[in-house]
Amino acid sequence: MTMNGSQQVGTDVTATMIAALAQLLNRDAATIDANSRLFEDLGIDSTGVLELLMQLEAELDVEFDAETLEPNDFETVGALAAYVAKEAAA
Amino acid sequence: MLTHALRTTLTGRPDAPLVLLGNFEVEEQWATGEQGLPTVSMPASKAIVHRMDEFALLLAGPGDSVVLKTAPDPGYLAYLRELGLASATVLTPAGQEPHRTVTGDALADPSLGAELARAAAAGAWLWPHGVSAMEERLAAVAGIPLAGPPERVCKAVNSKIYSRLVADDTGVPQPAGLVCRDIDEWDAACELATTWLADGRPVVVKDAFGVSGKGILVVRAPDRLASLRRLIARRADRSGRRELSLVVEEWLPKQTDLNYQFTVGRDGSVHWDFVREALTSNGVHKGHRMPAGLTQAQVGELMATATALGSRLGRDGFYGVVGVDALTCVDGRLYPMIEINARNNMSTYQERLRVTLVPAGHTALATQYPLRLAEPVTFDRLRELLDGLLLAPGGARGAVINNFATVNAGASTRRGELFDGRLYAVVVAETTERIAELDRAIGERLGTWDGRAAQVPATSAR
Repeated sequence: MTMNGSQQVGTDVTATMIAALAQLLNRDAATIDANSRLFEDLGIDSTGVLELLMQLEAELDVEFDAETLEPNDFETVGALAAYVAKEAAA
Repeated sequence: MLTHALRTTLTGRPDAPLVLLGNFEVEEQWATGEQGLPTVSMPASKAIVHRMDEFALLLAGPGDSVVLKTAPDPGYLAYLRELGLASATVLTPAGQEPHRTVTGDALADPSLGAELARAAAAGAWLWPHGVSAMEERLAAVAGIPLAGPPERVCKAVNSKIYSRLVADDTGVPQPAGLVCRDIDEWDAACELATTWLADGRPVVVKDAFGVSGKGILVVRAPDRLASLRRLIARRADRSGRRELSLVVEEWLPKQTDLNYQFTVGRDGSVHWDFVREALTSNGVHKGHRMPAGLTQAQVGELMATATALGSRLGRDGFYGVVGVDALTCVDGRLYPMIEINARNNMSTYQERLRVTLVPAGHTALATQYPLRLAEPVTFDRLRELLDGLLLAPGGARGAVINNFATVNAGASTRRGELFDGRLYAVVVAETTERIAELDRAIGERLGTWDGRAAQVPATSAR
């Protein structure tokens, strides 16, 4: 995959993730961006991350191993999108 | 203050001194090694939860001691003493760490262990919020007897699997559902739940050892349940572990959350304590309303359930304080047992405040206020901000701050960076309308406050 292609995957995943978070949290997608912190800014908890991953599995047709996630992977929306993009490309 | 009856239940003697230990969210210890919902290790700090240890200060009486992660703010201690509270001796471990429970701090400090040993020599017992392996270790290291059953019993009866099985045995009404102790039971539960979902009935999947109100996943579509089923199957395939600790239940259209408390004696007797309306947000506990506003018939049903559950808990080796979550549905049905918490509860710590400070015929709201602070604050500064809204000694209306340690617990080490805090209060007034006014006024004053002294408005301006 080319560099541009990787960036494209990341951007798409980020957009998909923001849409999924907006639905999950019942809030305006415009209030969420790649720098939003999942816990501090969005108030998501461990079960919320699980719900988010299940939704992304369905939408992106990929499989995640939730327990391989490291704390750094879901500090922000952007960090989690990078993890998801990496798993999707694997 | 503790009643003689509870003290006798805990220690076998009506006058034995206690050392209280507020190890909140003890469920985290009980859950260790259990396979519930797939989890991620959240970076979220438990610093605020660990400072809920300060609630224990309100329950202890003269002659008792309380282990706290740090000494209370001097202004806060003086305030509590003005109200006739906080008469116990405070013991503090050296070098508290925000990520550790108060028990973890105590275990790390041999000199605290020596103080516990001295208390034990004077006849004291260690009374934790709940007994996990850590509290057993602390008791063993310090040579102080535990005022409660062993961890093995406490953990077993806290499991939501135990709650469901006991309800089946005793005929206590409960939501339709199944326990999942292994992959086979989980598969059977998924098959049943899929038929409910196809009929438009949502289901909940719960961690058997989840912290009350957490570790609960509401599933509204068959494909989402299928996705969870695959996640759990993949984990089992990878780890080779087929055992599980989950329950699957029908989702109930809730009207009101309830929490009631009873005490199981060492002889298996059951004493009814009280019932509260529990206030929750997204399933997580936020406070209580007293009194609960139930009919006599509903309270009678809860008391009968308490007797049935307490007798069974006693036969299974438990004694001490039990809190049970219950609920009423929008159609008026009462579910008298959703889960058993065989440990102290938030309302356990509020009860002495209610008895001591809430005049007969008045109502009370136990609640919490989120804070966003720029720097740690003293209690005196907070007291100045809330001037006119706090309950005065002998007064009949106002708020009582029942935990101050949680305000500064999340203070950032990086100067100038905002941090989250939490203020707990019990708001007392003649009517629910007056309580709502006070609650709103407190929320308004705290809402724009970042803790800096310059923001405290002059008294004349209020």
